[in-house]
Amino acid sequence: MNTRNKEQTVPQENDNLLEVRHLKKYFPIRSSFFRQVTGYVKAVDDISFTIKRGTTMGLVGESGCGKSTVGRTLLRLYPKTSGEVLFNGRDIFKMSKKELRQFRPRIQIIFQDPYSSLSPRLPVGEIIGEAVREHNIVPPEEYDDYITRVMKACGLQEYHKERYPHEFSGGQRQRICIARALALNPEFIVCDEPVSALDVSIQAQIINLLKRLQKQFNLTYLFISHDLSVVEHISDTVGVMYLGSMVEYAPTEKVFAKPLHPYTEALFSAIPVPDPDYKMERIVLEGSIPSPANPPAGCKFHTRCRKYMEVCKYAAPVWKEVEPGHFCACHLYDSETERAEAERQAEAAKAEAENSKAV
Amino acid sequence: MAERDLNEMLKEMESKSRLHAEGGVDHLDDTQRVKVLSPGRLVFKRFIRNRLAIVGSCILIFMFVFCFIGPIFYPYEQTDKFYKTDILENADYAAAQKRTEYSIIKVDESVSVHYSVTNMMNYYINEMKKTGDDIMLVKSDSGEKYLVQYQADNVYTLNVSNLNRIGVHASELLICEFDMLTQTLTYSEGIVMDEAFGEMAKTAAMDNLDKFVYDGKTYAVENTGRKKYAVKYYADSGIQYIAENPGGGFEDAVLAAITEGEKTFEFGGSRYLLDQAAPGAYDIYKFAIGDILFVCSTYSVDILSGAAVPADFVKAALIGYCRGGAFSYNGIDYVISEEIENRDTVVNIYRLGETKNPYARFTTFSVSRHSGSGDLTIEFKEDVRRKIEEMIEQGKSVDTLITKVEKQASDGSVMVDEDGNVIYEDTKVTITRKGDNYTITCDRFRYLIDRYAPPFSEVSTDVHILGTDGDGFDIFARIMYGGRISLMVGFVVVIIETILGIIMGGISGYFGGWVDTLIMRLVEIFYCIPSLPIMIIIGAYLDAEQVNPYIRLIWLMAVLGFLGWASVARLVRGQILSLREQEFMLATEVEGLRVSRRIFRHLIPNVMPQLIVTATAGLGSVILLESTLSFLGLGVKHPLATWGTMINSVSDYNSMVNYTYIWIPVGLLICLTVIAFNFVGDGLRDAFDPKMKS
Repeated sequence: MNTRNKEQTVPQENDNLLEVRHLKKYFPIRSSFFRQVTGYVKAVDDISFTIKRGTTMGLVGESGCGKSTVGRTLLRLYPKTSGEVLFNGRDIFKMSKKELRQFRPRIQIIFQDPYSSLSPRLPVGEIIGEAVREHNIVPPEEYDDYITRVMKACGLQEYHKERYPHEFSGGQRQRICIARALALNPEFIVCDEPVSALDVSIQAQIINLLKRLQKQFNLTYLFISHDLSVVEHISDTVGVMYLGSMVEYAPTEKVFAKPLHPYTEALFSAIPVPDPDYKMERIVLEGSIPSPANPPAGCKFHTRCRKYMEVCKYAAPVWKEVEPGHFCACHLYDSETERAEAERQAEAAKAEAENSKAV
Repeated sequence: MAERDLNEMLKEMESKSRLHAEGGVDHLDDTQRVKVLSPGRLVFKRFIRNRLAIVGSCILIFMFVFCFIGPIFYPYEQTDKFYKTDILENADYAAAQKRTEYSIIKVDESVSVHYSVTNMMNYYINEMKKTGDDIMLVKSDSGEKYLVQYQADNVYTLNVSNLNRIGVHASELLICEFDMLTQTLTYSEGIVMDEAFGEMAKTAAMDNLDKFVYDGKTYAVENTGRKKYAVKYYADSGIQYIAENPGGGFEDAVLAAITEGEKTFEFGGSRYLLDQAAPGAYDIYKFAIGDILFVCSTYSVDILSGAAVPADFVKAALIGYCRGGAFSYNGIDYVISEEIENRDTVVNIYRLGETKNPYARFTTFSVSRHSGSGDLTIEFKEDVRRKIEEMIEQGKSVDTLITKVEKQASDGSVMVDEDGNVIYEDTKVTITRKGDNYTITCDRFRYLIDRYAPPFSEVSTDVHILGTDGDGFDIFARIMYGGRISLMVGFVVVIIETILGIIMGGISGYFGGWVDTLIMRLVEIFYCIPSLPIMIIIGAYLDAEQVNPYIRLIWLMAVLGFLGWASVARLVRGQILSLREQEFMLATEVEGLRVSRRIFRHLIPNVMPQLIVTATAGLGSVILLESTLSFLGLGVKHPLATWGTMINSVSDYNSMVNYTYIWIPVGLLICLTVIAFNFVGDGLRDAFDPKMKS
């Protein structure tokens, strides 16, 4: 663990519902024959953020940058490699299996694909209500009415209970998924690209449904998406990920008004503007995203960055609060001392690289 | 955390919206009227639209009704044996024997006679028959003398000899024998000569003289061959009397008897006996008949009422016959008399006082039932005896006669009149000679197992729709019972396979890791096991242990099921591996459902369609496998019927060609069932797969 991590600061407020600290998730790469570990895919590499109760955090990034892995790891669907996830101050990864099972209803997830996330052989009422019964969310005598109410709240009709998932459209299925998550009375819902599989009109319905539910039931969302306009619409804060690391984190207005990181800049320049006269200044990123199994040294983005400097090649940038509430990891915003420190590190790394080349 | 109750919040919302909606009109919702179909119902709907599948299902339903309900209404069991009566031409009815061997009956058990005499009795009697003598002197190897005496036809006795040696008559006396090779001179018994005689005899023999004179007497020398010479003295020396001379003229009587070759002669009111002790030398005895030791006879006794004859009665009758014709047996007195009947002499036995009807009769014939039990009438025996004697005279070996034989009902039983007496009727009877034995045959009804009866044949009251098989079992009944076992084996084996496969495949697929590796290697091992040799070994073991057929059936099912789970396990594992990664399984984990609930509510129902399809298709192959094993004699054993064993019963060329009605229906049923299972399996597969075009 280097000094950069120690210095890292996290927004601290009393009302934080979820706190993610230095979360890492590496997937081992095994050789095909003896199943020996030959390397790791660093899907989530040292990520920290907090989400306040009743707010939505958007998590954006291009495909394969580890957004979904963050969402699933903090649900403990995958074992973590290191770091901690505090929910209301309790570490999810320190719970026993029994505790975890009782805790499960408090955090729910809505998946991207509404087709594969519903068991095809169960009627909708059973899909929504199965876990409600399992966890005794409501008294048994109120069970039926409760399911009906949850369904109505999610825009489903009571008679849908007896139907099977194959009889529904994508939007309705996503409503069923939302109802399934809502029925467990969760405080926090991970929305793992919930609208990307739907067409635009339905997307709006679902987004508005989510917003309405949040308002009504004081829900907290982690909204994972690569659709920036959706994120802008729903999120209170936005985190931008690149290759397993968070590069920028700030309240939505700040990020959209003035993106700091060159990657964020490039990303946001791709947002279509519904105005035919508007001349887009698109920043085109060259090359493709590097392999997360073998990320570049120094700043991970330096291979594609427009503004990269010599120091970016060797020294990883520090995560810091550039403006109040606006975090970023880029050498462009280094202070004098930081710049000196980074250059010193870069020199050392360069020397080391030359040594190893000589050997 | 902030406690909040979603339920309460929802209720609140509901009441609010109700206030808003008050007075609003419910708009028509078409979706509400669409009939809801569960996935199972959808599959069913698609299935019943498949014509082949419906045909297959109908066949299967028919099979099950036929095999499981049919036997309830069918009158016969699978192991009911059926019989029929049939006229058996020239069935063996009785056997007859003309007795020519004399059997020896001891009069007094305590007297023992040397075996050399008893063994020779038949020879002595035959000698006496040849010479016509009525008496014969016999000597045992141990030197005792006995008399064999003729009593009546077929009856001889062995008596103690009370002999009185009167004298010796010699016409030619063998003095000695000389062997030139060994130079030994052997004197005859009882003759003593001095050494000078010996020397003379030797020289005479050496010089090849034919006579020499010694002490004024002439002796003859005869070459008896091989350098052996006999020295004889010819002299009509007359009789040397040992006892008193019976009187004048006795010598003439002896000489007359000798010249005529008689062995006995009478003189002066007494009987005398000549016994040739040596060539030309006779012992002359005056004799008196002593006690009877044995009675030798070819007679047995027929009691005229047809009752069985006790051996003691025969013995008593024969002894009585020899002792003058009267005897008593079991306190009843009997009289024996010889009578002429139809030009034959018969010896009848009367009960004392009943002179009209003979009680029993001596006979040299034994006539008995072929079966060995049951009685024959005296008329039948007499008819047979007379016919056989006629046959012997005419030298025939086969002949027929008409005689009275019990009348039979068509089921083979003997007919009886109101009084319980057996009814007899004239029947043509054939007698065939085989040496001294005669076989008496006639046409008889026989009660037989109704083997290989053709379809719809009607025997007495039983109608066999498909006939009977080689054991007299009704084929139709066996087809139904056999179908039960075949179908049951199919189902049980598939259920065992599926349960084992779901458990193993489920564990393997759900938990993965080393458990998965272990189970999959186990599956590969099970794929490698050659099931037929294993079944043959187990079959042999069960044969050796003589296991009850029903327990054998359970074994068969268990082993087949145990050998067959591997493919099911593989299928389940593959399905579960793909399902496990689906997001709805992740959702169940997030929801915090129990593992068992996740497996049984979410995984297994999603595997079931494929399982049902493979199990249905597997049923057909299991039924075929069971038939194959039964055909090879490894499966279910006789007399339990299965379709395989039924076909096995006509496995040789001859019965296959001649008894097509046994195997064709069974073969058709096997074919139909397997085809039907395949139709249903295909139909289910298509129904479960919505992508298939209808």
